[in-house]
Amino acid sequence: MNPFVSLARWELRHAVRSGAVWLICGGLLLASVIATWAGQRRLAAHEREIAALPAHYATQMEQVAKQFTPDGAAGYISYYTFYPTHHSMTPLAGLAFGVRDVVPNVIWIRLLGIEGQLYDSDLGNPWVQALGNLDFAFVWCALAPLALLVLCHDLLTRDRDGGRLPVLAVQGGSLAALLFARLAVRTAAVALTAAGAFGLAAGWLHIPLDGRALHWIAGVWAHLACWAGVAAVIAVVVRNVAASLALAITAWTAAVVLVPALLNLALVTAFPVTEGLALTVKQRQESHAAWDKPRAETMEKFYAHNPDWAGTPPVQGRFAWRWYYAMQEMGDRSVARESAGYRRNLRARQAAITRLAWIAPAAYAQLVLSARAGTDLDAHLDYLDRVRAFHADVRKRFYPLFFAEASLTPAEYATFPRFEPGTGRVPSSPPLWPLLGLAGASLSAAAFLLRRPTLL
Amino acid sequence: MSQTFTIARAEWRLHRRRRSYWLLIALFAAILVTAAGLNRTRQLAERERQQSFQQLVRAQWEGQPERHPHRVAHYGTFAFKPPGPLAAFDPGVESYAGRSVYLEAHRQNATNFTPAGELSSAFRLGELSLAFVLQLILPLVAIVLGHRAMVDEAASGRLRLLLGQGVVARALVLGKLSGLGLALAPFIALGLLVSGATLLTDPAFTGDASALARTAIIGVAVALHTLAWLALTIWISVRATSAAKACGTLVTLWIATMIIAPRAAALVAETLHPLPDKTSFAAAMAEDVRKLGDAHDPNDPHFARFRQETLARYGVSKVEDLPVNYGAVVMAHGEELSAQTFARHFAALAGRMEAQVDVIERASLFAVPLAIRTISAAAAGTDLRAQLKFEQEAEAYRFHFVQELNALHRDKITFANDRDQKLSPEHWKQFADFRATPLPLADALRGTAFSWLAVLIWALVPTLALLRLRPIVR
Repeated sequence: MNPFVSLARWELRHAVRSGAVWLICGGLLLASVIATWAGQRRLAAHEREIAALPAHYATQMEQVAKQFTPDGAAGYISYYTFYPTHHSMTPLAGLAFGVRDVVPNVIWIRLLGIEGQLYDSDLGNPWVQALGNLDFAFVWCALAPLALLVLCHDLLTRDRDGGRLPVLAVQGGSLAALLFARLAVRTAAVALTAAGAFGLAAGWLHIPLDGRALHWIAGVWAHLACWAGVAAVIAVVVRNVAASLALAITAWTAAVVLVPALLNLALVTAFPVTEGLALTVKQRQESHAAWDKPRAETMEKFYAHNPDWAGTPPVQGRFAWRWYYAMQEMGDRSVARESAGYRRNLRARQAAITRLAWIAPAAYAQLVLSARAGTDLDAHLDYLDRVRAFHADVRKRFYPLFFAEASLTPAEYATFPRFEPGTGRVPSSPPLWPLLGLAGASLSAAAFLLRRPTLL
Repeated sequence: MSQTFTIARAEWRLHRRRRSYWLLIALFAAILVTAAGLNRTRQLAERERQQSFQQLVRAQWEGQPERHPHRVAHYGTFAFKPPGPLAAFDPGVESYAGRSVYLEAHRQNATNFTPAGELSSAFRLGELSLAFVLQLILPLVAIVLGHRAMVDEAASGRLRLLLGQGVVARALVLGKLSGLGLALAPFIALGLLVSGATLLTDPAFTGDASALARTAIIGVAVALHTLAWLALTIWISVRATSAAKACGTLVTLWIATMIIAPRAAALVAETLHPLPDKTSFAAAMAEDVRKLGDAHDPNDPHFARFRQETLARYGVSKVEDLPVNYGAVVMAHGEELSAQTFARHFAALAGRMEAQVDVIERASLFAVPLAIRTISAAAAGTDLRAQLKFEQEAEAYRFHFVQELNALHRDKITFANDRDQKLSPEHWKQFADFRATPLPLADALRGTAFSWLAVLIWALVPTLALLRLRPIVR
C-alpha cells in the first residue's frame, strides 16, 4: 500500500477518536445552523416585502384613481404614481448577506429626476449594522480558519514536545508524508463539515444544488486550503505547542481582524467617493432653476437630446406637463457627468478592494462568497442601473402622452409598465486563484522548511 | 505588601527582558498611529466636505431669484450631520448612518449616502479605530503577555518553592496582577498619547465643551475593561494546567465575547424587535397622512370645518375676503398635521431601534466588550442616539423652515392670482442654516447604566476571586 495512504488511514483513526475534532467541527456546524436560520429569516423578510409590493401599488393606484375620475392629465397622474422596483435575491444570498442589510432592497421611483431617488438609506438600525452579520459566510470566512488552526497548529509540535519526533523521523517514513497526511485528514474533516453544513442550508433555503452552488462552496474550500497551508507552516516552524498556538492565534487575529479593518480604513481614506452629494445638490439646483427660465429655453435643450419631439408646438403659459418632465430630464442630464463619476468611483474602489484583499484571505473569501451570492456592491450597482433603465423606459412610454396632453382613465393604469427584476444574473466574481495560490505557496513553504533537519 | 511589590517588579522585569515584548509594543504603536492617522484624515475630510457643501447650499439659497415661497419650499435645503466630537477616536455608527438629508415641503426624507452602502462587503469584518485598538487589541495583549504568569510558576515547580519560602498566596497573585499591569502600562500610555495627540488637534474635539468629560469617561471605562481582562487572565492562569490550555481558554473567551457575541447580540435584537421594511413603513405613514383629509377636496369634512373656523375667526364669509392668503393657511395646517404624523411614525421606529439597542446592552452582561463599545460610542457622541438626535433635529428644522415659508406665502402673497406672484430674494436671506448640535453628554450617558454594571461586574468578580484564591500547587 502507498505509505501516504496507510499513514492517512492511521491519522483518520486518530482524528475520529479525537474529541477536539468532533468538538470543533460540531461547533462550526452549530454556528452554521444558527447562521442559516438568520439567513432564512432575512430571505423570508425580503420575500414578504416583495410579495406585498403589488398590493401596495394597487392601494396607491386606487387613491390616484379616486382623485382622477373619470380621467386626469397623464402628467398629473404620473406625478403621483410611484413604481416599485426590487433587487431579486437568489437563495444563496441567505448564506452571504453581503451589503444587502445596509442598502435598500426595494426602491419606489416616479417619473421625476431619477438621480435624487436612488441613494436614500434603508430603515436599518446603524448600531445593529455596525455590530455585523452572523451569516454562513462569516462562520466560514472568520471562524473556520481559527478552527482549522487550532486543529492543525500542533501537527508536529505535539510529537516534538513528547520527544517522539526524532524517532518518527528515523523510522524511515518521511516527515512530510506524516505532516501532510495529518493535515489532509483534519482539513478534510473541516471541509466535509462545510459541505455538510452547506447541504443542510441548501435543503433549508431551497438552494438548487447546481453549478452555481458548487462554485460557491468551492470558494469556501479554497479559503480553507489557504489556511491549511498557514497551519502547515506554523506546525513546521515552531518548536513547541504553546508557541505554535500563540503564533496561530496571532496569525488569525492579524489576518481576520486587524488587516481587513486596516484595509477598510485605508481604502475609505484613499478613495473618498464624494460625487454622491454633489450630484444631488446640483440636480436640485438645475431642475429648480428651470422654473425661473423661459419655458422655451428648457424645451430647446430637451429637443437637442430628444430630436423626435423637436418641432412640437411651443409651451404656452406658465405650465405644461411636457415642460415639467422635460425639465426633470434635463436635471438628470445636468448631472450625468457626476453620476457616471460616482458609479465609476464606486466600481473602481471595489476593484481596488478586490486587488488588495488577498492580503487578508478572510476578506477575500468574504468578497468571493458575497459576489457569488449576488449580494456585494457590484450586484447592488447593477440593480441601480436596472432601475435607471426602467425609469428611462417609463419616460419613453409617457412622453407621447405628455406631448399629446393626453388624459388617462383608471382603466388605463393597468397598462403602466412594471419593473422586471432581471434574471437574477450575478456579476462576475473575483477568481479563486489568489486563494489557491496562497495555499500552494504556503504548503510548498512548509514542505521546503520541513527538509531542514534542525527542525527536529 | 513588600512581597507583592517584589513579585510585581520581578514579573515586569521578566517581560522587559523579552525581545518579543518590545516588538509587541512597536507593533501596537504602529497600529495605533495608523488607526489615528487614517481616522483623523477621514474625519477632517468629511468635515471639510460638509462645510464646503454647506457653503455651496447657502450660496445657492441666497442666489435664488424672485420666487413664489411655495416654490422655495419645494426647492428645499440640506441638513448635514458633522462627525461626532470624538469620531476620530470612536467612529461608532458613523459609517452606517447617512450624513445628509434633503429637507423639502410635505415629505420627511430618509438620510442618504450611507458610507457602508458604498463599500464592499469584504470589510464588514471590522473598522479600525483607536477605540477598536483599545477595546479589542489591548485585552489580547494582556492575554498574550499574562496567560503564562501563574501557570509557568506551577509548571516549573517554582510555585511550590515560593510558597514554601513563606510567600503569601494573595501577595503572589496580586504581585502578578500588578506586574502584568506594569507590563501593560506602556501600551496604555501609548494609547493615551496617540489618542490625546489625535483629539487635541481635532477642531471637533477642542470645540466641544464637554470634551474632557467625554474623554475621562471613556478612559475610566477602558481602564475597567482592561482590568477585567487582566484579572481574568491571571485567574485562568492560576487554574490552567498548561500554558497552552490557559492561552486556549482565554483566546476562546476573547473571540466568543469580542467577535461572535456582537453579531449574535445583533441577531437576537433583530429577532426580538424586527424593524418594519421601508415599503410598509412608508405605506402606513401615507395611509395616516391620507386619513388627515384632502385639502384640495371642497367636501372633505376636516378641511371644510377648518375653513369654517378660519372664516369665523376673521369674521368673514368667503375665503377671498380673508386678510390673509387662505391657500397658505391651509397649506400650513396640512403641513402641521402631516409633520405630526411623520413624527409619530418615526418615533415608533426610533423606539424599536432603541429597544434593539437595549437588548444588545443587556447582552453585555455576558460579553463585556459590548458594554465598553456602548459606553465609548455614547461618550464619543457617535452612537444611535446621537444619530437619532440629528434626524429629529433636522426634521424639526424642516418643519420650521417650511412653516416660515408658508407664513411668507400667507402674508405677502394674495389669494387671487396666487401662483403668478413672487417674492424678492431679500426674503431668503433671513433664513438661518441648519446647525446640528451634539447630544448633551448627560443625555448620551442616560442609556448606559447596564453597560457600566456589566463592566463593573466583569472587573470586580475576577479581581475579588483572585484575592480569595489560593494558587493550586500540583
